Amino acid sequence: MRWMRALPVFSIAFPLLYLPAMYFNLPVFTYVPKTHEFHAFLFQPAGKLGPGMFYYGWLVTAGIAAAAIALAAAYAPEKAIQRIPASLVWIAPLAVIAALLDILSDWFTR
Amino acid sequence: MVLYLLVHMLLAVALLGAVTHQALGVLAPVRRPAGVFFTRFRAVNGTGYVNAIVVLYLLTASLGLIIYPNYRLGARVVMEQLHMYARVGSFELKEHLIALGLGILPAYWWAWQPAQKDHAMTRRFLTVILGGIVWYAFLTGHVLNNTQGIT
Repeated sequence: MRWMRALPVFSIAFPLLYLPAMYFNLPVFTYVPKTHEFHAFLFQPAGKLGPGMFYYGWLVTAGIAAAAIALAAAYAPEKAIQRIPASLVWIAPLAVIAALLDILSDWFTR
Repeated sequence: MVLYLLVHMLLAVALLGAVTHQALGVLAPVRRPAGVFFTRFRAVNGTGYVNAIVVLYLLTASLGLIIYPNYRLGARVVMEQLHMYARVGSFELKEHLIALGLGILPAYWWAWQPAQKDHAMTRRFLTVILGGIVWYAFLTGHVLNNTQGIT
C-alpha cells in the first residue's frame, strides 16, 4: 500500500521541519489567546493584547510540509524509498531533541 | 477548564500505563511467564497496545492544546515574574517533545504492524522515545500544576 510507506517518511520529515519552524519562528498562523483571534503567519500583538502563541502554527507548518514530503514519497518509485534507512525514524527525533535541549538551555542557566 | 484539565490528566495516566507496559515489554521481553509483579508487568503483547496508545496520545495532546492558552496567560506569566525560569523552560521542552511525539506517531504505528516484523530495533527505539516523551510530559505537567494551578 502506497500510504503505508509514506508514514515513516512523514515521521522523519516532521521533526526535521518542526525544528526550523520553531527556531526561525515560521508559524502558518498565530493565535492571540487574550482576544481569541487567529492571524495568518507571524503576528506580533501589541502589548495590551497579551502574548501571541506560535506553537499551533509551528505544528501546522511542520505538519503540512511533512505531509507534502510523505505524499511525494507515496508516489515515488519503491526502490528509492527502500534506500531510506528505517533507523532515521528514531535518529531524526533524537537529533532534534538534542538540538532542542541546546536551544532551551538558556532557560536553565538564567 | 478544570474539567478539561482533569480529563487531560486521567487520559495521561492511562497513556502512561499503556506505554510503560509496552516499552518495558520491548526493552526486557519476558522469555518465561513468572509470578513476580515486575515480570508480569513486562509480559504483555505490545501489539495490542498500539492503537490504544495512538488514540490516547492524540486525545491527551488535543486536550493539552485546548488548555495551553490558560497556561500561557496565567501560570507562565506568574512563574516568569517569580523568576522560575527553569520551570518555564521545562514546559517549553514539554510542548516541543509533545510535538515531536505527534510527528513520530505514524512511524510508531507503522513499525508495530505485522508486515514490519523485520524492524524490531526501529519499533523498540520508537516505543522507548514515545514512552520517554509521555513520562517527561506527565511529570512536568504535574509539577507545574502543583507550582501554579493551570486553570
